[in-house]
Amino acid sequence: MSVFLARRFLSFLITVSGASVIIFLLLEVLPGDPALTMLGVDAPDSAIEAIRLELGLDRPAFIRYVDWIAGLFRGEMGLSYVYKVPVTELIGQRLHVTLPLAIGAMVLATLVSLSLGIFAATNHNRIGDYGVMGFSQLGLAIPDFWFGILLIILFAVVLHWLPSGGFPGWDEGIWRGVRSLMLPVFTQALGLTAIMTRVTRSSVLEVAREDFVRTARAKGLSRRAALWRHVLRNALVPVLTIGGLLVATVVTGTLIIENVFALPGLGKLIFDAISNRDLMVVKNVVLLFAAIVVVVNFVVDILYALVDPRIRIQS
Amino acid sequence: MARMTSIDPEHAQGAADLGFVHRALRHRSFMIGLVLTGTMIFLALLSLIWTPHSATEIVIAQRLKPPSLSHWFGTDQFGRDILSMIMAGAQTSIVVGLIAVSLGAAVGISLGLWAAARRGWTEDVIMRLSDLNMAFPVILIAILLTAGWGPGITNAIIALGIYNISVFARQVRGAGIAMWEREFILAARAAGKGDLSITVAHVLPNIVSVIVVQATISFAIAILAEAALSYLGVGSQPPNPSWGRMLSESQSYIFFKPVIAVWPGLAIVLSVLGLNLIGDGLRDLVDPRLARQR
Repeated sequence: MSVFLARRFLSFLITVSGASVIIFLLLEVLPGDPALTMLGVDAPDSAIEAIRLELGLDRPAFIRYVDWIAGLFRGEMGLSYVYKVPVTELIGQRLHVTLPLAIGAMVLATLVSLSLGIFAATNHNRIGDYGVMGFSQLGLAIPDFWFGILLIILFAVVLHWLPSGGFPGWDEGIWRGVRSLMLPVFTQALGLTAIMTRVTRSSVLEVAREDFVRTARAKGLSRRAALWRHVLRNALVPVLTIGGLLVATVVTGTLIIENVFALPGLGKLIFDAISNRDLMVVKNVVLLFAAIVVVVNFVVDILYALVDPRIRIQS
Repeated sequence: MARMTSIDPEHAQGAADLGFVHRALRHRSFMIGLVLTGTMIFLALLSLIWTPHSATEIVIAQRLKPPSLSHWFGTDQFGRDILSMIMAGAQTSIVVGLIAVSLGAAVGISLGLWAAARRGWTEDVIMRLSDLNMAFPVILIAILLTAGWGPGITNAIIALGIYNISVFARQVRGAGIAMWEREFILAARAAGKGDLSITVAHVLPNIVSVIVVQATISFAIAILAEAALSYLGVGSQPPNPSWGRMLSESQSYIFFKPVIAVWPGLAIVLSVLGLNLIGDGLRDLVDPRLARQR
């Protein structure tokens, strides 16, 4: 197991380092002069020179890269060019919205998809199964941003039950914050629920056909007892794996959902930063997202190997 | 045995193809997918020579008109005909999807085949590069390209193409490795054939079905992703019609004209649903064991 862990950890380090190099190259080296990228080609020379000095862009690219990474190890991401505050502070503020949105969507999707998937599998090839599979097929095809707009039309414009967007902040009361995040969480959960329902259903069906389940039934266990004691314990392994991998999808999905509902989270921050050409913010937030994706994949690999010894032996 | 060897291989292949077509025609969801996707392609092709009105001309006097005989889906906030925009938007989706998937498939399939044939450190390097690629979901690649070079449809195509490289490389590597362990490949090796000729003559033709299924699903994902990128303003730019941007523009008007947000969304859903149904259907048709499990 320790060899497996060491190999996976090395691969994880290489991937994160590679990601940081790619981000730096794409933002600060390949497009040309970052000062020009930030101010535009029409900016006066004096302004371009000033920003070069202010952000240290006059130094060689390699030195700037090393400085960036060294700063990250010290917990510093530099100053936002537009807001004039540390990028870490901006990210910290925005996580108050992005994190509850991502966690809420993941929890909701897990609860609904496990129930629907088990229901569909236990009613295989019956009307309930067809209904769940139809919902799942539709959930995969509906773009989340359109589903969000439809929810706004129904719950905000027609019924006036929930706000159409924005976020008042947690200081204004937990209930007001939760109400503002309800539609975004439902929106984000749709696609995840569709995928996880399919995986749960096919996994339960597959395990239910295994010999040990037949043996359990032959020993006199009822269908329900066999399902809860034997099938689900084994069927949940692939579901958890897919669920883990979907965390990355959820995190990047917040970028879109926050724009639909005008939520002041990381997604809004990064798109505002693109409009304002605030490269310091773009660079650090993109690395944060890429790192989350890599960390999640790493953790899923480890968990999977812990649950299924064949994986670590093969590796 | 004598009877078996006397069967003409070409005739046998023809009979198998005919069986596939018959099974495909009886596969209900595959046929629904085919009709939906066929309609999208037909509308896109038709829009090259004809649309009910101009898809880009702004007619302020006609703004936000409800559906009528002259404008079947109504008009948007600039008085443009929504049906014509949806027809022209299909072109954008198809072109972006086709180029991005072809780009990703060409590079990804080559890398996947190479990794499966060589194994060892070649495979390790390709898989680590693929890990790196996976660290950047489409939207992050598009954000990086837009921040560096400004928004545009080319960025959306490149972002989707890069994303698809690792998808195809992983899929093809897995299928390829399984193929390299089969007896007929061993026989080809014993006959003195090299890695490249075995890959081209035996491995690739035997994993075509895997590639076709993946391409169909990737195409559906590309349509969704292109719409999302255009919605966010980092994909297709005005005046080029795009379903995603139509949705983004309609969002300001949903409080008094919610219907204009319905049509582009429906177009996306039906196109993606069509391709997903084709993908699922093809998987069932090429591997009936999967159909029984599903």
